[in-house]
Amino acid sequence: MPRREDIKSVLLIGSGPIMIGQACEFDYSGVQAIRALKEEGLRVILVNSNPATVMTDPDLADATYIEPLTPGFLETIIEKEKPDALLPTMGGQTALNLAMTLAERGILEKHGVDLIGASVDAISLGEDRLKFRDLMTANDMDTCRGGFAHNMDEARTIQKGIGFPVIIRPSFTLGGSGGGVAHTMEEFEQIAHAGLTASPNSQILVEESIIGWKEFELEVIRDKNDNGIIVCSIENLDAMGVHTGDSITVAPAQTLTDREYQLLRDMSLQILRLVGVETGGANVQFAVDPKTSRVIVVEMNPRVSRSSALASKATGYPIAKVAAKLALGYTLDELANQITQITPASFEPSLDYVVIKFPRWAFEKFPRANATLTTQMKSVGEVMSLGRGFKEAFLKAVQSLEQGRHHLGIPRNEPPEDLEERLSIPNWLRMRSIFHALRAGWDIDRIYELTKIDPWFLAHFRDIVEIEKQLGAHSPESVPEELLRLAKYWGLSDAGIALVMGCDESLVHAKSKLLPYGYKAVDTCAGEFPAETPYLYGAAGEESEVEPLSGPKIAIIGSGPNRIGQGIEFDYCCVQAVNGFKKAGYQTIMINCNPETVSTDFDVADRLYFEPLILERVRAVLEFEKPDAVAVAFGGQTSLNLAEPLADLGFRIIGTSSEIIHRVEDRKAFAQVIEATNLRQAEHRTANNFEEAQAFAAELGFPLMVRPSFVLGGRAMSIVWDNEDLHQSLHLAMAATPNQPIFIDRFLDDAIELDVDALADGKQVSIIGIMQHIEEAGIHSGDSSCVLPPVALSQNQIEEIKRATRALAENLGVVGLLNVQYAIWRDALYVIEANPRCSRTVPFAAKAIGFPVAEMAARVMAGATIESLGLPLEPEPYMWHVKSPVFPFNKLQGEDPVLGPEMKSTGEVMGSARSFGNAYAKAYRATNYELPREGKAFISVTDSDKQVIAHVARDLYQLGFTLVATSGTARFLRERGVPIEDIAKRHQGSPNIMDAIQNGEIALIINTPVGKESHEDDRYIRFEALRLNVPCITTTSAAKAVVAAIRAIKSERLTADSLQDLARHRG
Amino acid sequence: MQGYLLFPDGRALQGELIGAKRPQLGELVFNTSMTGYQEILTDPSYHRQIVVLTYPEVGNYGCHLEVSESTLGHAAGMVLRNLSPGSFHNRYQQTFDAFLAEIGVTAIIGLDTRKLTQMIRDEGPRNVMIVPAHIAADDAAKELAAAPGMAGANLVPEVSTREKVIHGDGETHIVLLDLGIKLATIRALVERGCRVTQVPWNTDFEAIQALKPDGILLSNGPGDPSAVPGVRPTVAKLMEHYPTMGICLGFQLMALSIGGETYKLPFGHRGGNHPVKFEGRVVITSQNHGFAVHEHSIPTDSCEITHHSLFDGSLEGFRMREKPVFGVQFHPEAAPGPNDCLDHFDYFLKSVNESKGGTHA
Repeated sequence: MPRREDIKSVLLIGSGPIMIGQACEFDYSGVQAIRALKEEGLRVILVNSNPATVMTDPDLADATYIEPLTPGFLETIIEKEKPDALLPTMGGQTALNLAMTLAERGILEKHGVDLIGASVDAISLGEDRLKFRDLMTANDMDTCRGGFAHNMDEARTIQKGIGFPVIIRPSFTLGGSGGGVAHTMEEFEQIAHAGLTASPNSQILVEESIIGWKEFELEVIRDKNDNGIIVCSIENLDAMGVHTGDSITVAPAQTLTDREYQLLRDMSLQILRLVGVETGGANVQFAVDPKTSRVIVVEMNPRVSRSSALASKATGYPIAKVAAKLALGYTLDELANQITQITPASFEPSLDYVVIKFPRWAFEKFPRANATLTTQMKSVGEVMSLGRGFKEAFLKAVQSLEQGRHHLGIPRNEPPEDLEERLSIPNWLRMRSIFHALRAGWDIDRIYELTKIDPWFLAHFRDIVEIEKQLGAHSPESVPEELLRLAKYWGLSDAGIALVMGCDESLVHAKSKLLPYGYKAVDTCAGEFPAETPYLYGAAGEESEVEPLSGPKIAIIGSGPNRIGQGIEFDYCCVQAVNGFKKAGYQTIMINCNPETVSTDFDVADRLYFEPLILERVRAVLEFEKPDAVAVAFGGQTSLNLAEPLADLGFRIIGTSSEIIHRVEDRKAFAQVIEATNLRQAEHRTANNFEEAQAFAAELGFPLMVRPSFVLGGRAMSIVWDNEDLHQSLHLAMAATPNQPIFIDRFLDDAIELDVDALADGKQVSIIGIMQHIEEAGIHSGDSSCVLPPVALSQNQIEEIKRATRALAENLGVVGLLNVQYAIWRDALYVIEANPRCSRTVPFAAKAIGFPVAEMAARVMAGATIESLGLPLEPEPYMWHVKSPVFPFNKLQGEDPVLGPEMKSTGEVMGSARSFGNAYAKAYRATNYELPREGKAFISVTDSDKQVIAHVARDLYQLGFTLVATSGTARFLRERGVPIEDIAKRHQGSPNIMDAIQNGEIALIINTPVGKESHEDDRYIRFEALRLNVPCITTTSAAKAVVAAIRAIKSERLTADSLQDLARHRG
Repeated sequence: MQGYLLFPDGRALQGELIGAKRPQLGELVFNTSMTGYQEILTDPSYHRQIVVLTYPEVGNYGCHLEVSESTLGHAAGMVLRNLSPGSFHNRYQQTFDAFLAEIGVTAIIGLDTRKLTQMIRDEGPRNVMIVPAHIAADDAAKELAAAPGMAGANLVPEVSTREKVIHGDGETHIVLLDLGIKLATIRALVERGCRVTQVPWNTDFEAIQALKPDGILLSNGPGDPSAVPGVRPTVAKLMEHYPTMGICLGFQLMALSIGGETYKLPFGHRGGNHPVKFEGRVVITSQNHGFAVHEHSIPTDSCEITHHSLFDGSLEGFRMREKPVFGVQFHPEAAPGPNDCLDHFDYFLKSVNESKGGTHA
């Protein structure tokens, strides 16, 4: 049966900014969906607020809206574009929720838009736990038994129905505090009572405890003819109790017998039937009791998900693409398997390798956050690895994480004293603790009792520790070939073996390079059918099944796992680079290990090597393929760090050379460049130890910026105002990068900071964009909102910046992209830093000016000139564009939501409009906060900010706000003629500011805590604001921007323009 | 123990032997199932075959007695990538290694199973030998060269029951002609209220008639369907008189007995992910067959083609137009593999019960 003929245009909703729990996997799914819909000749309308996505590139969809994902904007776009259908299943929970709101408000019906891919009923069944539970129960499937209780009698009744152990969770307490697991009546009475007391509304959830059960997910696809297939099964290595997103996972399931697996398969298909998922993908989660094999249905999601992206990469089966086609009315047997071409999409992939997903956390950046892993996801990214066995895949995952050593812990270290606790409470370093325990001789049973990680996995870890011990008895010279062969076969890296032997990696490599390491294909069918697949992974000890690509070719090194400071924007750049090199006549080879990305889709590059981005694995690919050149400028710091070692091995780095990269990264060399270019830098020193640092501090005077060298995203970077600060910061910096020098800079307080991106071809330099930070100096550039073009610079200043950037690019000899950060301090221009690579701001700037900058950079590197590409030397942005960051504070409880020099944001949004205020308002709205139009604004600022805030306060008053402030601020403002009321601080008795926030009386908070004056009271204000979603502005410059934005939303109509519209305006 | 996998052309792949650690000779085939190694090993249809498991981790959950599909026949040997460093499961009774030793099967581990699979796919199946290192390749090569191929091999007598066995005590009486039956099929029937009488492969029509069956099941089994002597007339008469269901080899014999032809597939269908088109829908099936039935050889006046493989278009099932008789090439009893087609037994028993009380001849 062919597809529905009545659908000519489809609206697709993206997932918005990257947040914990919703990351670039939806860019990957969305891109596949758009391509699938375009293949059918449909007009595709896309809405997504995230400019760093590949999907928002204007050449993918027919109409691309980078607008806030709100019902209002969606309706405006629907009115304008009149789509026939809405596909809500590709943009995560965000898209699904939006589609539900649009349906419930009758907006879809009013405009004749058909919801395809998932019905309203199916979506609500997935959302409503009680309805879902009833449906399961009615069909003889078990769910977690339990219910809500409001007093001890109700609690006892529920407990009686389920026995022991039970888990008690008080409602509405931060982090679920006050709950626990009860194994006896006595424990139950105590915990339930405490829970009822702790809960503000005296409500507890009493549920059967399935903590410690095995957890599985099945990725299912069903079509309208009731054909259903399981694309992949995934087993969580961490037992129930840890969010799937925070679990190490394995595909396919490893510890289920065939009968158990088939039962889960049957149940999954039946659940899709019952829920009514008719045209697309879904995932079903199960818990299995390891003692009895009893199965509990945990939940079902009727959409593509993080897991389905992983399943697609793990199997080679493009779930999003197939789901999009099914939504149009195709059936599975009408679609071809993209990889084999000769078999249909209606089959179940068979794997002949093991796949591991390992999450990547960022707790080092959030020292106050609770680092225990629970049912609230906390990781910010993930890696995937493939190997011809569990051990090989697992160790390659560890190597992919880019967290130092490429191995788990240091074999010679004594285990910590609190090892039992480190094993029994799930945490981000637990894997390391397991290795410590095994090295200390703990047996598997004991570790199982503490971790509930299936002994099958632990036995593999024990094997690894065993071979570590054997290797440890040898040096690279004495190691028997058979032992080394086995170690490599099991996936140990040269670096890992060197760590065990206590020698240099190169000595191990000299031996291991003689052993075979081949490349196998991911073909969906375990080799049963011949497949022309470009998707490869390394297999130690086996031979390659492919020949190197023939003809001119360039390898592009990806950006690895998403983390704070390096995320989707670099994947965007990599994908653009692939396109650029293809246009320049090269075949492209992508090397990356992040399953969430578009760059690792098997049809992006001519070849994809899914391998860890460590020197050993990257050079192996390059030695096999022998590309003409390697591109390191697109994958952020990950790829850039490989430039020098790869150049030393004789590989040609395309574009900016490794020598130039070194000159920019080396402080001394860079200072010489700055001097030669007649530019200025803030005074700075490099200290090699504590004493030197103190001496330099005395010499330069406070405030200072202290930071370690070689870090990402401002890790352990801080501003110090006095000697006490200095002490603490130096300790932090030295801990972050031991034995590395510490950089000490004069801090340019109150400066305006700028990000500039430029493209140089060796002759000319195009200034892609000058972006002015809205937050002031001292806040990491990635955490600051920025505006393009700059709002507060004179024409002279802008010209000076352009001149400086051109001079830098020319003096350095950059071929490709250059990002420079500047500060304007006391009317003088200072260079903060420069990076000769694609930067975080490139996707935003590219969308603002309407040119595919990263793609052009690749072409320039391959020899094209800026002129030949038609890129103006000073492209005009046409409108105002604001980029705003999104923070994970609501997911990482305990962390102070205050900005500083260490980057904390996970993602970004873009707002574009004809006025700055309007653009800022859109960006603000897109970060999921709503600016108030009226109400009560609370102001509490440090003394140094009071002068500036007086203007802001007056403006807010004129806009119709009533103002309240704590006594000091209030007095200051009243003296300057601003009508304002006093409000008590928390410790000054009730009613106080906390009561007012909790009662919903406060519409806007302006609270600047910079410097040392931030104290506990302020922190609680910010926590409450965060918890209750009240806009909380923590800098004066953002406060000014907010005033402009509120003025705009009160006076102007917010419009929506597609990127394609803007391109037409530009002519 | 070290050993090697010996090919007729003299190639020898080194690996480690587990299980019985004895020389084993058989036709090299591969199976792409990701679970169910014990079911595969104990499926009599793998008699005299050496099975490459494409999934690399094997032995994870050990072996459990009740999972074995037969005690009469099994694969001759297995080729694995990795053996689990232990077996862990609440039903666990024995490691895979110990189980292999107990039933006398040798497996070789540490081989590039993907490369072997691609070789079988591209060059077709052939006899190979698993050989302990202490046996010289020359001696083994002679034995290998002398071994007959699978075409023309009648292996049924080696795996069929020697005497009549009765399972269950239900109302409906099914006589099961045992050509190498898997226990899952018997389970499927008994669970559906049948009394099953399992009879030796060469039981004649009259003897079966004397058992007063309500329906007949022709089982799966090993070897070349065209080489099973004397069964065709029996099958033809059974189909004539009783509601009949055929599975795999049983299905092939049904086809042969109505004038159909069988042929050897290039590399067989063995796995748990095979899509089959049936009544406009796609079902995912468990398969294990090296031979297949030519679709054009099935008389369409008396038969209707019902099932096709979506992998290669080959014939997967037909039914007779005027009689409650049908057969499928795949394994509706699963074990291992998906349960999508267990309803075929319901369909069969419905026709059995409808025609109860008399033959349809």
